[in-house]
Amino acid sequence: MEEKVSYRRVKSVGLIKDIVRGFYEGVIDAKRHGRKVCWCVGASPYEVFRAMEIGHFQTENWAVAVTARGLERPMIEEAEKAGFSSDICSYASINIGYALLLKKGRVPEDLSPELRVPEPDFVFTINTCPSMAQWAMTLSEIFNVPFFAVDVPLFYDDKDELHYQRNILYVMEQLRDAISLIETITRAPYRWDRLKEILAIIKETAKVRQKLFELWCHKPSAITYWDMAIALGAANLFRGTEESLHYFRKIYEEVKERIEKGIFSIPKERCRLLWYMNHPWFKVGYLSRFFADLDAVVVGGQYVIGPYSDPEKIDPNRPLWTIAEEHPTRPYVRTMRYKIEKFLKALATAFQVDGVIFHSPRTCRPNSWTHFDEGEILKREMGLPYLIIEADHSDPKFYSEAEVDNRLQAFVEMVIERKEACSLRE
Amino acid sequence: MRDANEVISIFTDIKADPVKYLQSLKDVSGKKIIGCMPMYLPEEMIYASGMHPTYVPGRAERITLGSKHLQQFFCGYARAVVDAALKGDLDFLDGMLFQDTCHTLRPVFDIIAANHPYSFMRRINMPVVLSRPQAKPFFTQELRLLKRDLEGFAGKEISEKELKEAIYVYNENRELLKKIYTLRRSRPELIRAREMVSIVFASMIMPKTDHNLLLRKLLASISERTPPLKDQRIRVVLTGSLCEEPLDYLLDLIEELGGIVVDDDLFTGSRYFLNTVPLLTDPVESLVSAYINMGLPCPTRINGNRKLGKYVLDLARRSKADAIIIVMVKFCEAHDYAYPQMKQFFEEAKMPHLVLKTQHESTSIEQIKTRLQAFFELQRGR
Repeated sequence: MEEKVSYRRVKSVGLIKDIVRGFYEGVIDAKRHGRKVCWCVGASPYEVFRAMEIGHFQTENWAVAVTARGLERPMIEEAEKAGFSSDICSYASINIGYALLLKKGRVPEDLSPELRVPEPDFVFTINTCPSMAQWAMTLSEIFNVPFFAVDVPLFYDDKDELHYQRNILYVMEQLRDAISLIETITRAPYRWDRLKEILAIIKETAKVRQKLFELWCHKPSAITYWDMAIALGAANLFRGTEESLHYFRKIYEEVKERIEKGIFSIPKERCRLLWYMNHPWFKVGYLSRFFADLDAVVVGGQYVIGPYSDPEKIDPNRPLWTIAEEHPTRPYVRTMRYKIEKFLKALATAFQVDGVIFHSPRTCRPNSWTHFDEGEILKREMGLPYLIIEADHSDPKFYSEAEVDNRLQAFVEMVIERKEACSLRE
Repeated sequence: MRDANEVISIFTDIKADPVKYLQSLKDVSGKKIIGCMPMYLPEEMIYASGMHPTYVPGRAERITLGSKHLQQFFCGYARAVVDAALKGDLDFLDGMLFQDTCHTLRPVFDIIAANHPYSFMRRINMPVVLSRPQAKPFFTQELRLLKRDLEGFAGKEISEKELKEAIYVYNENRELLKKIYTLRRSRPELIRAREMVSIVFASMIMPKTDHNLLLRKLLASISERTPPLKDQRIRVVLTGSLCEEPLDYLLDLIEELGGIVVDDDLFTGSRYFLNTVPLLTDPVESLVSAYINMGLPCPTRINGNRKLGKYVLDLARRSKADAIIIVMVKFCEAHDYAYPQMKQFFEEAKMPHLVLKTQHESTSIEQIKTRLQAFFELQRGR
């Protein structure tokens, strides 16, 4: 008997596996070949390090890779043993736990070879999430290496252009200091030309991603939130490489072909949903099938759009300004009103959704705050139903399957019923 | 002596019902009242504008509305302030001022602004990395713009002279509080822990001139007071509780079980007054300098090599403490990050220490009692 295929993943998305492996092997290689290694806490300007061939990675991305393989437990336990509460960001618990184990020479044996990242020569962070500075400082103390934290202020006034410019300049000037630190650490003059080349690739990729965004909004859906979640790394950590450009081109071509041939993500699309803020990484495959079985598709969400999504804002000839201006695109440093307009209403309209699911991760305040208010405002101003679930981005112990799944199912059924009743009336 | 007890009872009454006090202050003085969220806000500027700055109290008995706007894993203080504001309990406030302290308090502004806004609502950014050269000019600009907006709301300009006077009055308050703390270090039996918290808490609520007057009265009479405690106990230094006062019953338990608090590094304690503002030609720069160069290590800031653990350890040694008790508020992530290193410092220095985690709704008194009992037993046996 033929097995029922409920969810049709975009195949080229899976090419990320090789990119991930190659990327982390590159970090290990950097150390082996005497190049410097930097651990980046939070979304950082990786291009700045790439230009100087510094081995680098994002601690969150690495933690996702660890959780996706189900290997997080011994690291979380190690962090807890050292006194870190299980209430701190689960990415941080995993990463700090690994750092402690690495220092003791006790990295878990089952950890995949490419994820055995070497000790850093320095730690870097841009604190779009206020805890990142403390996390980075903790790492620098464990390894006794310098750390550099770029302070990103809150963009608390959406209307005051001067406020915006002042904040960007503040970030930009700090980035300039970071470059000086890199020159000191690498004992080499900074390669600005290389940085501009990398930004040019990012811009080229952003153009492809922009075209892909149009297809992403197609109704019925030919590529979903979950596909884009898997592809996120290529827009984020692995950006600025020919591979990432090629990767997004492949996805674009495949999705275009799917639409032309009428191949869609799920066989029967009875409702479309928006996912708001991050998601349980350890459940991506599971959730894609879960919704498909309910004839629902989670189409899009701000979180998986990733950085540098607007090619117009990328100017390779003004690298530091471009990099500094990327950070206010993060929801964590914006007002609630701004987020409602740009990340909820705009996307709900673009993706033509029938409802919104808010995910509040138990160990992440920035991804959880104001969900109740945003949901109510969205309902009031756009008439969209919403659901808030509590789980976690990286600690499976906070995902209560019975509770979360029940609520998701009831919500989807309600949205479908509501939508079909409305269309009958019309 | 009567005076000391009288003054202390004024302070404890204010702490017991700060809202009642502030409402009547408003009725009597007719001043606009500006709520200052924790922490590091230049209250002096508000004082100089003729308005009254106050800490925003957040000790609601039961949080109902607050939990409809923030999940349970946001700290109790954040939820309690939202709760109180949305229920109208803080309606004596004309305005609210926020510093971008931590990611738990960040959404509180948005929620109040969307649901129950006050006439004046404003945030400021205080740099997180204080040691960065860009921090000072950036913060100076933030404070100058704040001054402009406060002047707008107060309907008057803040003159240099007024701001300098405000700094003077505030520094005087700091000096007087330091004197009380010095006295407590040598004669801790004179002031109960809950009383000391009330003294500082009242300073956060009252006009500083009034508080200064009462403090002087207290200093003149306290040595004659019949000691409420016996000084033959385990000398304790308290640290933590970064945004709100520690629970009275926790402080009482420490005394009941044989401890005596000799010094603290609490938000409603020495953290409030140790940061004296230098008197510079430009008073705005005085305020900037006080915060950018502050000697207090804070888990929400990167402040050179200043480490909270080392700081508290030094404080404990200076006050000849036998033990340190860390009061940790559940879901205070900044404190959660700072704790492991503190623990390491204390362990290496062989300084006995105990963590007491409190939670707004469900702090287990019995559990705390058992842990304190065992901890003190151990200290007695040393």
